[in-house]
Amino acid sequence: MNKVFAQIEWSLLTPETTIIAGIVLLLLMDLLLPASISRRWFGLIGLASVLGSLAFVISQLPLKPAEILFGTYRLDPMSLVFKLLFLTSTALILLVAMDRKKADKTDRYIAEEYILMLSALLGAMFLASSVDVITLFIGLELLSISSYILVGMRKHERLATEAAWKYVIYGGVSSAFFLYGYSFLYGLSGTTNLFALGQRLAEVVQSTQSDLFIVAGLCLMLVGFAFKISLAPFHMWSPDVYQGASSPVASFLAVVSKAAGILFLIRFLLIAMYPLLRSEVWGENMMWVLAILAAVSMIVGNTVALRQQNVKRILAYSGIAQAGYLFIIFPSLQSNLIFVSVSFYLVVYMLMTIGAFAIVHVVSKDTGNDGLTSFDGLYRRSPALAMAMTLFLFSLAGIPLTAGFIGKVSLSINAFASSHLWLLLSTLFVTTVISYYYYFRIVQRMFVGKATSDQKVSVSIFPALAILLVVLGTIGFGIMPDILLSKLETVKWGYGLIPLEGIQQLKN
Amino acid sequence: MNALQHWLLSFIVFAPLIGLLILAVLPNAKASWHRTIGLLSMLPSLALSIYLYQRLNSGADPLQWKQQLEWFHIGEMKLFYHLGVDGLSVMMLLLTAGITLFAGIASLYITTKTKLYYSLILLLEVGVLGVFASQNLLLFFLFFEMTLVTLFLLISGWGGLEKKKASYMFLLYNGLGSAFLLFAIIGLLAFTSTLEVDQIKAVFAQVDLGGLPPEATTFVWAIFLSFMIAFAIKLPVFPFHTWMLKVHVEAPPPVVMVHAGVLLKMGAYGMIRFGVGLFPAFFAKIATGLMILGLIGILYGAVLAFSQKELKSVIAYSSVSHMGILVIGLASLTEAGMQGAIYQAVSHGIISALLFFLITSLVERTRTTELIELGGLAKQLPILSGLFMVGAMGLLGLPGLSGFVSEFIAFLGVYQVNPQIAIIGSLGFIIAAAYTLRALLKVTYGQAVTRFQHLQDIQVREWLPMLLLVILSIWMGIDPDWIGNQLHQTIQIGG
Repeated sequence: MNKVFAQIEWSLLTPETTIIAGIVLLLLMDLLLPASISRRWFGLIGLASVLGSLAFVISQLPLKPAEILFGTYRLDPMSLVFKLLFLTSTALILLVAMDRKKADKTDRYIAEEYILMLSALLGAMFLASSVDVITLFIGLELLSISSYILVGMRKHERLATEAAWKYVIYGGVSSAFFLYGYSFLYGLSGTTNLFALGQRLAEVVQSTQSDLFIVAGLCLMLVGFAFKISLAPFHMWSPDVYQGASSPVASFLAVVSKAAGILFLIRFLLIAMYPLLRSEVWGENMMWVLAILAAVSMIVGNTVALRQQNVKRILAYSGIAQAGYLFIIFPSLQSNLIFVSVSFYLVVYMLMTIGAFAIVHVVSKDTGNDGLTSFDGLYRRSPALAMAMTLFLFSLAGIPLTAGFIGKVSLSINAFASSHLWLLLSTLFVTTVISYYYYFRIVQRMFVGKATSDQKVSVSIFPALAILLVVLGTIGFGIMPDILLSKLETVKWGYGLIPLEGIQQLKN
Repeated sequence: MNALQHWLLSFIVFAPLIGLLILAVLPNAKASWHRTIGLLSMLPSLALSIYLYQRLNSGADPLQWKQQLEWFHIGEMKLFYHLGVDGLSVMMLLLTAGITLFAGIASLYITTKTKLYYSLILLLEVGVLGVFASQNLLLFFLFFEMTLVTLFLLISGWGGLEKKKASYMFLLYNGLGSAFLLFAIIGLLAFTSTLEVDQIKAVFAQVDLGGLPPEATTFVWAIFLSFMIAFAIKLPVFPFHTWMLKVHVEAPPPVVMVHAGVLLKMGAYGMIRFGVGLFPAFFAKIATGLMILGLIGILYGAVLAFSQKELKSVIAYSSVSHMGILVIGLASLTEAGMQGAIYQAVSHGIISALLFFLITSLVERTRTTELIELGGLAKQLPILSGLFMVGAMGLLGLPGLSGFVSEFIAFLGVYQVNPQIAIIGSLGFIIAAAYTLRALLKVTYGQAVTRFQHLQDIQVREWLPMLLLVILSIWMGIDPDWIGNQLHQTIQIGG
């Protein structure tokens, strides 16, 4: 046993260990420090561990694909890119979260908030490094359970409690769907490793005797995934949860949680389900299912958002629509381009979503609510904030010169490889137009609406830094997308979809 | 010199941004500074477009003053920052730079949030200039959207009573247009792997579009029709015109000068460049249908203009009618028709700018544009009424003014291919005379309204620019070759 233990290359785990160290340190300090000492600066420790982990991830470049722990933990280009995404977004979100009201009622749990955010991040990172259903699921659950508590953090507020409760129930149900679906697949294959699963299922698909079970299993699991990434019609929880949670937490759910779900789905569909998606009998039908999920999400997200009066709910519905845009890649599984597009769009989506939520956070802290009216006349009060928010909203709407536009263009190019080109593209473009209405409504309120007061909105240094970084990213990737696109193109995405031996063979 | 040539077009397009940067650091309260900076920063583009217009070499390569830089790539597909102009583009650049400056001058009665206002006008100018100078479709789209966003904010910020409704109507109609446009552009990218206008032309020249497999033919048709719908909404072609009426009436009049003067022409420009230019064979197939729509527009706009009770609506409907003339000229696909259409674009730009400039001054004094409340203004406001009469004559196509030349040539072209449509369309002239004179008489003649007795007539700073517009219109009416010279090449290529 000890021998095996010693043979494992633990150094691969340094990014995760750094996060764990941060969690432990925060836990101990919260326990040992007297209650009279403010815990507000704990965020800095959290930030430090995230940045340290980021540095370790970068130090793993240039990457040598590797596996430890009997194939359950692996390091490949795909996991690395997603880890970078998770860590950057958490760092930005932590910056925003450090801006708190004076004598906030949640000050007592301040340490917990940071700890839970780190543990959720840890879950996402494990998920990124896994091609085994068990570890994937554990990563997902660590992420989810931490998020449930994060949402309920503001327990003095009725909405937050309601949101946490809803989130737990919906999340639990989705996990149940997922596991139930997987139980069929396990019954057919007897393995939890995605690669082995794919091979066995290929045999089953060819024999066409019990392929119906695979389809049933996949459909049930898709329901679970759709809950996690808030795809319509399984999206009901997200507006309530985003509204109830604090803005930084909401943006964490919108970005990290969703990206983790997408990654899981990419690996699952493209490794384990590939034979089914390519089979003559079922392939076309499954593509229909995926295309319809994408289309329904775009339609529901963008139309229901029209009638919302709360900015966080609008952003939640917009997030549902964005998940639909991202989902375009699945019915168009053709080339390397889907990975480039989806990762580019996720980066862009991260920037604009974190930015928008950060501004909601700052503004609602100032006005005391997060209704649409709190944005009235923001241009008068704080021109910089209004401009930044406009930029994020334009980016979400896909207006040129913002990163969101380039992202949408590159996603929609993928649709041309799909056999459901017309369905996907017409929904994409029509719903984009519809979405203009609610994005521009906020813009109009900021520039034209009458402010209730003339006082400046105060922004403290950390969120200001986060907003600045995100603004630079949104404009930068909008004007010079090549900086990011060319990097993402050189990533060997295919390595994330084949076993380690395959990679070594390819190299030789 | 060479490097200068290289960057000249970019400078013309982006010069207004200099003003934007200066405005950004000015304090909020100094309205007159904002105005000065705003106007000054419109000058370089105008001066340089005049220079460009004169230096354009009609013998050489149709596309001149090119600048091409690699922008980014998606997969194998490279996208370029590519500017370049030919006769038509230069004409439109000149019109844009000119009309925007006039609109800036006419903005003297805008007093709220002037900093934001002039910033947006400058951004709008950059957008329109960029549209006319782009030689890459994605770049074209980018500038196209820039005009959409800025105009939306201008309408919703400084518009009339129903500004909210007008701004959303504008946004959704034009957003839909943009969606079609983007679909067409991305479709082209998927089909030809490039978005360079000249390269797409080359690809289409090699491929026999008739010999494609049926799915591919449907696909190309879909791209072509999306282009046409997008530009038909912008122009607007009947039945897509409803948004434009609202904008004419609700947007602040100086902004309408830009809107009616140049923004609508982006639709015409797009049809010529990407409809006729890229898909001549397809365009020929729908030409008759387009002509009929144009004809409906001419008559429908004219008849409704006659029954309007409000001055701005009269001009709005007359715009529908005039754009109808542009469309039938274009759809005739003859050299004369095409030339007439472009003349019409320029002429309508000048005349509607003049009329809305007049309306700006009028509204500032009378606070109303309801025809029933106006009357007898010739006594109190002789200069304004005189200029208004010239504008009205331009609108109804009086020989000697620009409107006559353009409509005459356009109808000449239509007559060559489809005399019936030309004959029915000519009825539009008669109705135009009727509605223009009706509006003119109601405003300037008749019983003087007592509450307007103390009105002051317009001052030099108002009538001088208006007079300039009148001179431009007369010049074009007497000596149309002034713009025709640079257009031959474009027309031959397009038609």
